[in-house]
Amino acid sequence: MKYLVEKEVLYFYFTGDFDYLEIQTIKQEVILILNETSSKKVVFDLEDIKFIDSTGIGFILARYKQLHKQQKLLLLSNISSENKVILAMSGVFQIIDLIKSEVKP
Amino acid sequence: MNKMKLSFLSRMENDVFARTSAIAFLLPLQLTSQQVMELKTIVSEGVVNAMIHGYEGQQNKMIDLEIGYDEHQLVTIIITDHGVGINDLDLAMQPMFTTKHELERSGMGMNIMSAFADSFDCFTKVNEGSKLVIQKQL
Ligand SMILES: Nc1ncnc2c1ncn2[C@@H]1O[C@H](COP(=O)(O)OP(=O)(O)O)[C@@H](O)[C@H]1O
Ligand SMILES: [Mg+2]
Repeated sequence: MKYLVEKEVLYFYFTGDFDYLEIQTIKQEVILILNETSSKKVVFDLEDIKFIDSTGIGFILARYKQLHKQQKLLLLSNISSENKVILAMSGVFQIIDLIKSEVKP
Repeated sequence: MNKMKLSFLSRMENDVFARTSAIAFLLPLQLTSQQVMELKTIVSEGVVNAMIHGYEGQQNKMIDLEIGYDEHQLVTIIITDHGVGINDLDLAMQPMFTTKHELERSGMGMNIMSAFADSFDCFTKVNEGSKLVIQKQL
């Protein structure tokens, strides 16, 4: 997992799978970074995520809520068409907007 | 026409083992990438539920995964745990219902499995465990 700030936006670049094991591995670090950031806007770039299950969805929604409490915004970017199916089915896009981002590490 | 059975410990790293083994077994069926995604998701949702809910995170219990397919490309997936069982199945099937909010669960697993399947049955008994029987027509 990489992250960077550009024009006051915090970008995360996740790789691998958004599943039970991998979410468990990254969760605490992401929570900490989000608590400490001064950026008002955070983008999760999911281009290199190969697989998402409901654990991954739970993680995304929980980070949205975490940021929302601090009046900060979470956006998702560069999701593969296959991963879009499961996110749409779970109602994620009713809460979190999808953007196309060119900013890369 | 063909079937297999795997038994493995309820350890987190066996989630990826279970779903990739399922796909490896189904390789002769020449799955589309959409079907691969749906089948992997079904297996992971079922196996992770057995780990987190059925066995409440204990890593030393056994989970069974059985997969079969017939000449009409009907795939059957059976996932069994001998854990706590489900008290109210109707409630468990509700979108966004979870008994483990503190673990940031989305409560969407049961719905995702049934949406990706053509038939979805859960046989469960409190303190005895749960068996999911899922069929998908390719
Ligand atoms: N194998 C199982 N053993 C015991 N309870 C289960 C099992 N599978 C599902 N459940 C119950 O059903 C609820 C809903 O499951 P699911 O839709 O996968 O959501 P989540 O896993 O996010 O809680 C769980 O919170 C749990 O209470
Ligand atoms: Mg679940």
